[in-house]
Amino acid sequence: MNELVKFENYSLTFKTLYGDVRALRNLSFTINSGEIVALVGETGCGKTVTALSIIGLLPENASQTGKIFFKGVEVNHENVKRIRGKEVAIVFQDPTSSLNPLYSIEQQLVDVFVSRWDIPKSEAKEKIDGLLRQVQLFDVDRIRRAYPHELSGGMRQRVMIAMALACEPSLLIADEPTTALDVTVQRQILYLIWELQRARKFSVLFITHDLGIVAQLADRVVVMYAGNIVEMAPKKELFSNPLHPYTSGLLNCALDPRKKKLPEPIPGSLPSLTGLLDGCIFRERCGRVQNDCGILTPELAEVRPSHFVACHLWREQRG
Amino acid sequence: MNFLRYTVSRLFWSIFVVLGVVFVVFLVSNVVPSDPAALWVGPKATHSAIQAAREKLKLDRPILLRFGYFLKDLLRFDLGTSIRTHNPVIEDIRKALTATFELLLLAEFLAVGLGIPLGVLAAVKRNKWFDNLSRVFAVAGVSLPSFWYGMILQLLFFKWLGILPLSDRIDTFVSLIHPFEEKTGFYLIDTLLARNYVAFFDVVKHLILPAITLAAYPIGLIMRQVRSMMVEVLQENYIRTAFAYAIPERKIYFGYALKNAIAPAMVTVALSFAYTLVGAFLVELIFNWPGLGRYAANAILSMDYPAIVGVTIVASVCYVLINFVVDLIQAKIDPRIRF
Repeated sequence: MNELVKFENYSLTFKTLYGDVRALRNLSFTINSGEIVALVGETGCGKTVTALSIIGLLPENASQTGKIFFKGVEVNHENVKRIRGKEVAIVFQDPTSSLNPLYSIEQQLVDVFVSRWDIPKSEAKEKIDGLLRQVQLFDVDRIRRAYPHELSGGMRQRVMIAMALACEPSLLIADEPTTALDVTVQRQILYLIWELQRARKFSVLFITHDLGIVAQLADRVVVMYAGNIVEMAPKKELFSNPLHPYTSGLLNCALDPRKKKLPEPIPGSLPSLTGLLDGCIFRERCGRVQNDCGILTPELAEVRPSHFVACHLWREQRG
Repeated sequence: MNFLRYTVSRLFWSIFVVLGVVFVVFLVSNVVPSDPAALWVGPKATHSAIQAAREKLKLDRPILLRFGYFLKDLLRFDLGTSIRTHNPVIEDIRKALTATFELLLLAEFLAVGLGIPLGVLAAVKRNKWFDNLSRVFAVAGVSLPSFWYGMILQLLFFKWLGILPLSDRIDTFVSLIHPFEEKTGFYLIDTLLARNYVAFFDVVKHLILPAITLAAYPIGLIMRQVRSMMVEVLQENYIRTAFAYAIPERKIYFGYALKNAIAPAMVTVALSFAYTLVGAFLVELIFNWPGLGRYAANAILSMDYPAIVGVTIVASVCYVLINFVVDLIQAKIDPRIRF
């Protein structure tokens, strides 16, 4: 499989009045073509920023080190414009606030078509019906003319997906696309993304904190904690054999209707990202903390075939 | 269809507001401690002359009846006769209003045409030199009194540079040598209709300084308001979406974002319009502009109460009308308003 996106020792720091916030630390991972990668972690652990880094949509106070490659080419300020909204399309978390309230669906889709393919408006308009049908919005005449507030949450998210499809991307970033939706609608949206991915073979970077979604959808899982990758493995391997204490904690948090008892939460909360010291970032919440954890920062290492973990517990097994 | 219903309902409420204003104005004009009849006949009048004037002006009737007469006259566009000029008030106001409107429309055109794009630029270049510079100008425009920089402009462009006239709507010699018919009362239009280009350029020259003086305040206000709204809107998720889909930046700033940011600025425009209508009589005084502000000031000074009432009613009707138009424009921009 060839690599579509590759992060290489990528770090991101936000300069703020309260000091430097180290949002991402030493990220290295890849997204292969045609693959669905799930990026899992708590709110605020850097999932969205990771995604936005690929298309260079970071706030002005961000400074980055390390590299991101797209199709083998290093992404920089110049060529990111050829990727953003073209090779890489993104579906955001909250479709209500992500669509412009004062523009009709048609206008917004037409603008995306025009800027992506450099075609006249009239030509773009002709393509909209087909696009809406692909995301299973069949009442095309009404939806074209509608404004976002006239549609339901699920319909809005379908419109967002249509917008992404208009770009015919090689990577679709789905940033918690179902979090703001009803459970029943969540399923439909997930199924839609899965179906479109099967048909069109684009890669998906699926950002979520819902392990149920991961279990259904992903090929590979990247677990993040406080701006670090703590574990990375194919889906089945991760679920049957979670190595990092944080991953196990996450799995224990998931609701299981077959069990009578409530899930166990991970004690504590995310550490402050300003002025991080050496040592494992998870040590304060970890139930299996050792002497080394406070001194050495564990590195991501492959301890089983294509199963990477950043934890001192598995140091001996490194190949 | 929705839009039509919205229009009708706004119109209904606007009429309601105007009626309320008319009633209040009438009441207030009746409780002011001065005798209109005595003012009517002038100084050193005999008691019987005042009494006759009181009967002529129907001041001896009960107040509700007089409100009835007042409304009836109002429906015929009759605002009574000015005590100061002895002309029908409506005639005086019509003349003054066109003079004011010519100035006002130009000033608002400047304010909107400059204030909005500059506000957008300031928001986009937030905390850069352009933003800081524009902030200085905006604060100056809003906080310095207009009569002060009106006079500074006169000093600069009339006395020192000598390229623009000091005051008035048109040069007396120009109007004598190149006369034109006053069809609309707007000199710019009248001179153009008469193809009298000498007079036209003279009118333009006379408009520049007072228009800039009047516009300074709304320019600053609109600019700052558009800037702060734009800064807020630019943080919105849908703007991030637009950037993520590589929509051209100009379109994002002046379309996607501005459309969302413009609503409060529209209200400012409406308010400054009303403020300028009579509130800026100092500017009209400085530039000897025969407008409504100057007329109102003179009416107040000479206790010319039919004129005061007339100006108040006309000004509030204009105010309500402007707000009505702004409501409609806002509904046109924002599909969520129509219900």
